Amino acid sequence: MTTYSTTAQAHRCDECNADMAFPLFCDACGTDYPERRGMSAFGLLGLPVSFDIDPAVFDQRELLLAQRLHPDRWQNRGARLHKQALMAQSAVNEALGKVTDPFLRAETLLDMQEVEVPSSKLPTPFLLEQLELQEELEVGVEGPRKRELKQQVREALRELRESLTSTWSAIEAGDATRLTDVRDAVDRSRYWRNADRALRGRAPQ
Amino acid sequence: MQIPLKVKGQTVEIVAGIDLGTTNSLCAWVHEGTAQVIADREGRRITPSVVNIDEQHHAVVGDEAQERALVSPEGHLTSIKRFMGRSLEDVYDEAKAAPYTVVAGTRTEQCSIRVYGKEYVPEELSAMILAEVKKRAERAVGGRLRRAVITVPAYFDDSQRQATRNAGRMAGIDVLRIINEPTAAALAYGLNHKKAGTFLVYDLGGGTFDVSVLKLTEGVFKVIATTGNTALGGDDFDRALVELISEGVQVEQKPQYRAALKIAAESAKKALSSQDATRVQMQLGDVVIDQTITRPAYEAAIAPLVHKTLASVEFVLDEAGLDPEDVNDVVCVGGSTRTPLVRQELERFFGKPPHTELNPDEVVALGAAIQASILTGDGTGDTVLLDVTPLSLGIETYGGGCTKLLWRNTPVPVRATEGFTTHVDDQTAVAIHVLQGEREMAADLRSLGRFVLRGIPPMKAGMPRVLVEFFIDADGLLKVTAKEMTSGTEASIDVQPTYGLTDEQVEDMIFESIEHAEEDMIAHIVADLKAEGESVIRYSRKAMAERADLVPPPLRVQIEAAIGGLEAAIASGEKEPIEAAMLVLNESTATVAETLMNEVLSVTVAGRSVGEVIGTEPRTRASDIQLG
Repeated sequence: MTTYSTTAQAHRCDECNADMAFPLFCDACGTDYPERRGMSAFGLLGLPVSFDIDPAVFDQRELLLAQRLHPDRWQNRGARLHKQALMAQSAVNEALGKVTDPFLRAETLLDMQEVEVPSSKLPTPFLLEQLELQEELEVGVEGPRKRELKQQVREALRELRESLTSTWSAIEAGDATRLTDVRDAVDRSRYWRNADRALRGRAPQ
Repeated sequence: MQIPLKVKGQTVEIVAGIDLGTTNSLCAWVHEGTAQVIADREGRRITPSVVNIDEQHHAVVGDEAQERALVSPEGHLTSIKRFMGRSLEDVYDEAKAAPYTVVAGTRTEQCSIRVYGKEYVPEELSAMILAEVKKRAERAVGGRLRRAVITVPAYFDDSQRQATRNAGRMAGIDVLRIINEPTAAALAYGLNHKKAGTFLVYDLGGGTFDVSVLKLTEGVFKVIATTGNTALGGDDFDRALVELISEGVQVEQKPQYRAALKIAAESAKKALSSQDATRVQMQLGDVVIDQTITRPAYEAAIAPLVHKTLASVEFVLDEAGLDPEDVNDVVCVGGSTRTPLVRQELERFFGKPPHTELNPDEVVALGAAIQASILTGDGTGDTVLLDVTPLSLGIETYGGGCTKLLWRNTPVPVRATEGFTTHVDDQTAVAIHVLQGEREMAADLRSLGRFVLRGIPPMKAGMPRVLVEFFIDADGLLKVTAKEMTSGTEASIDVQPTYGLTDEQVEDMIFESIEHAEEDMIAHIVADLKAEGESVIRYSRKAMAERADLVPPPLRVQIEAAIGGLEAAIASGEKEPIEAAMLVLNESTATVAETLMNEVLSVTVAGRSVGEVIGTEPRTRASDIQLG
């Protein structure tokens, strides 16, 4: 079974022994560690492998990493180091993209499982509800109906987020059977998020 | 402005921030820790983004071009930025309204502007504006401008950003970074006020509108969401005013009439920002216009445009997951935000007045200068900008759909990959079409470029795994690579930009401009000499009229002859005859000038210090923005 750590692993540079803010690139001496590219988003960001992370922690990590790695700070340190910093900041952004959003974080955690957690078939009433919603959105909704649908979609997403929090607590307590519930919530969230995106629509022109 | 002391043999390097605007352009730099707009030798802080090309294809830029609006209306090119990186189809309505001829491009799908039979791509014309801005800054400071940060509207797509970068290269500028205008404004504003919080930057420029939400924490400026409209700006307010001015009269559609109406509208717009009404009187051919435009009438005409911008404000707040009360400060950027209705509507929407302390025309250039200073510094400062890509990016899939690889408002730099496969057995090449925008079908999206990945080993359909990687750098510019994973084939790819110029075309244009540099330089010198000669004639005539007592009849005859000679030389347009004739006239008027100078000095020097007489005041004020 996959284990969950509540503390993040610290990294030191093999070359200069400095504390590394980001395991792919030492911002003290410029050494890069391409062999670590396969690390999980949690590992790269120095975050505990957990679902329950305070959103403020993401902001703090983003801030700290930007202050140390952003390519603008490396503009005058030679083309090689600038490029490495560019790649490092890009990897930071990619990793943040996988963990900041709770549904993507849950998906990342599922991908990290030693045994694949397959998708289960979603119930027909749910799929029918989504089909009707998609059809309505394709035709186009405006005014009060749009506001009503927005509220409905965001409420559904809120409920799914809450269910993920409680389910993950049970998993961290040792109940691996609940992983299928996580997969179910992630699969459902895709439909609701698509609807949310459609409701946001395009920028007014 | 403080003029830096120069050490003999050393040239001051100006690392500039340039706001390449639709209507005006500005150049700023950080000098001795202070961001300041560079005023030229005449004290002008703004360069009109205007190019005027005559029948001989000699171009003048900026104020000089502005003065020729009615002389050479066909070659009078304004709002060029609206056409950067766009096809004729994209800008059909604006092209129709433009007082010059916009045509489909021959070199690329990007539109071109036809002037006296020759086509110019928009980045060539923007390069002329940048070159003028560069020249003015260099002359004012007495240094060299080689590197700069150039700003673009946040909602500019990849083609428009590439076109701006190309314009910089053509103007001989190493473009350190392309940054978004609202982000630059927030940088200048945030550093000035040194406070953390959530900002909404409302940027209504001459031709574009942007709105961005940013968070500032411990020196890190993070863009949360951005949106806008690259075809909405103060120009549209002008058009609404043109309608009001020409209401009830039938004006012939001549380029010079359209140009004259535009100038009148701009002037009325400025007046209506501080007055309740303004009267416009003009004669266009046989048509006499005498209209009084009231502020309510003007506001009624532009209200739909202002409400359009507020719809974007609502949209960007929704994208950022914020309510109006979550925004700590609203910052106004762009000359059009001086319009009282804009400020009133923002105050009504947010329940607090927007910030307008910084000059809305200058704040973007100042922010760009700060970013230029950060980029060329030693990397130890605290300030970092984290920006986002304004539009989603994807690839056309089988059936004309689009798979999005990166969604709008994703922080940059960023990388995204997606696997694709083949549809028929033994397929050895895959065509990849890169798209940008929010719609679902490829036909509705903006085409950024196409490339073909060749050299895929023949396999059954569905077996090859083509991995396409999108990489958006810190400028928001896209690079695409593709690799076939099962065989490891990494074919070299050549993205052909749909709306922009290829690197080779840009190089060719730079080469052409070098080839013509001498010719252009001579044309410029002649233009300067002509202007100087005309001034000398004007002052000579004025002196003779006002101080006839100083000009005895024989001298008057001599001066008149010298004036005639200079007028003939100016008409010839040749450099040497103008220089020679000017020398003759100056010699003829030397005694008169000397007498007048002595009279002035005897009056002004009395009882005053030398400093008071020759002037020690700085010619322009330094900006109050402090770094750090």
